[in-house]
Amino acid sequence: MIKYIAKKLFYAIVTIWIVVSATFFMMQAIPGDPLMNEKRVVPEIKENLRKYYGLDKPLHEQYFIYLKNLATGKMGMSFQYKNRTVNEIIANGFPISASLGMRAMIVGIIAGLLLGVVAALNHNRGWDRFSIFVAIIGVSIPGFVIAALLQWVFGVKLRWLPVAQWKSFAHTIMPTFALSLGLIANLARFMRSSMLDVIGQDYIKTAKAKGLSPFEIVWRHQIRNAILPVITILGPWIAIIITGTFVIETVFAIPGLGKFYVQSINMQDYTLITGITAFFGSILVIMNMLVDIAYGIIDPRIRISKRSS
Amino acid sequence: MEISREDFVYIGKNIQESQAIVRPSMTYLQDAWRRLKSNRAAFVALIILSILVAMAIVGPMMYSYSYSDQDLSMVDKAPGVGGHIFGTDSLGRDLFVRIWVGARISLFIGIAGAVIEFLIGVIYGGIAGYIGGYADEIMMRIVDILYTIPNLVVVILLIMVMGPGLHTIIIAIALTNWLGMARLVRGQTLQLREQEFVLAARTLGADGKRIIFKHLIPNAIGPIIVRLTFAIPGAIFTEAFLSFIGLGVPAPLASWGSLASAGQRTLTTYPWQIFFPALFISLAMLSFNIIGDGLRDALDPRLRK
Repeated sequence: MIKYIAKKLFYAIVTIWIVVSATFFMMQAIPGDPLMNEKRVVPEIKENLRKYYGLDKPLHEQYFIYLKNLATGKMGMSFQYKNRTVNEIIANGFPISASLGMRAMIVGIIAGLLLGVVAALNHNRGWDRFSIFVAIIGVSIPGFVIAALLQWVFGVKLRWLPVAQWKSFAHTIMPTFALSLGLIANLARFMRSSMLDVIGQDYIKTAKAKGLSPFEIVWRHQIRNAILPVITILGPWIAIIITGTFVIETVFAIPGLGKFYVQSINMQDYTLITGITAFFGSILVIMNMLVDIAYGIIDPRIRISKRSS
Repeated sequence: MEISREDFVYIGKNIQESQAIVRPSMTYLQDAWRRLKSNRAAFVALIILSILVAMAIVGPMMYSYSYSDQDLSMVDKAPGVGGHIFGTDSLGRDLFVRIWVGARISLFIGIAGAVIEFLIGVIYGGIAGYIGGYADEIMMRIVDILYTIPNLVVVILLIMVMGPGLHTIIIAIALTNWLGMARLVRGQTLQLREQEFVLAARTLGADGKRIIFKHLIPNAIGPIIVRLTFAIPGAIFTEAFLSFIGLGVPAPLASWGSLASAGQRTLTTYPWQIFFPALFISLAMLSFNIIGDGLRDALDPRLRK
């Protein structure tokens, strides 16, 4: 087990280093200059600005400064938001994004599993068809379309919920649902087929023959056995949810990290892009590592050989 | 009830009859096609998709306007006004034409992305799985490390470096997606490689290339095709996402994603500008997903009845 964790940790560190370095060098390869937009600035001031941001040093020196700063948690100043450091922007934006992401994860897992279980227990009846419908809709409609649709129906036409922003609980309902729909759809589908597999097993017959109550059969024998393969699809969903926050935050004007990221890309704010990319990349890698380790604990078979499956 | 001897008749054995082949012999693909046809949902999806593809080809030619023709006297018109079936956008461009031009771009990105992914994945995974041993170990370790790099980071960085454009998007999508395909193919190859027919082929003197391309890959084609069918909507989705964050195909070119994200901004005032692109993206996604599901069932020989 320790060997397994050490291996995962090593991979995670290597990957973070690759992500961080790739971000740095690719940003350098982009044609243009971070100060390109400052047209009215006289050359002398531009030169001073370059010095201020450290752009006058040779590339490898910039790279080592960048690595050192990252290791000590300093990510530099934003070019676009004057006098705001990337750290500040991340510190302000990330809690909101994390809150949105967690809400979506929780809603998605609960609703998805529930829908899958109910569908499997009512195989080929109304609930089953409903869950298949949700599953297909959820994987077929892009997040921003769902978000826009929700905004239009519940915000503009019915006026039940606020159209945008992130202030009260009512503000969080639509973004959370829009973000979690894909997860709900996928989990419902996986849980349904996994449950159907389990329901056909002999030990369910045995449990029935023993005279267990239906609730006990469903809870202790069916759900517990069916849920294990389903958990393994949650790992990739962390990445999908994080990507989703970019879109959902932009659509709903939520001041989270995702919205800043999309803006920084549009405004070519290099330090902000590098900083947030490195941050997101590291978060994802660490999350995946934790998920992998969790799988290793839950299911010992994964520890021995994951790739041969 | 009385059972008497007279109720039974001795038929005897007819060896020829019992060994005759009752079912017509079918190739793998014929069999799969037969099963896919009997799946009503998949068949409808196939028809919808064919219509979308046909419209993508002829749609832009059905009008005298081109996708980039602006008419500032016809800005943001509702569907039907002035002969614009789907209305116009904020620059007075005809949305009907733009949607079918967008269909070309989106479908092209989807298919091209999937094909490149297929080629790289099959070659890489096939070689790793077939050679095995150290080569496999090293090749798969590389895949493992690349796999942990978040896709999105790579796609965004690549596009920022190469500049947004049709080819860039396809390359970025293919470069991030081939890993999954490589793993799939390698796993399949590893399994098949040990089977007797490969040994037989080798005994007959087939070389490595022939075994990979004539024996291993055709036998692994089922899961590969299924993955490809899901790769196409995946690529279209990624493109829509990129358009949304401002890294999509550059204007005045249009894709379903860029049309929908442009429409999203004017949602409250001109809802049809998002309605039509969203409708067609969803329809295409839906069809690809249903066909993928259908193919998965159809191509699985264990389900053969």
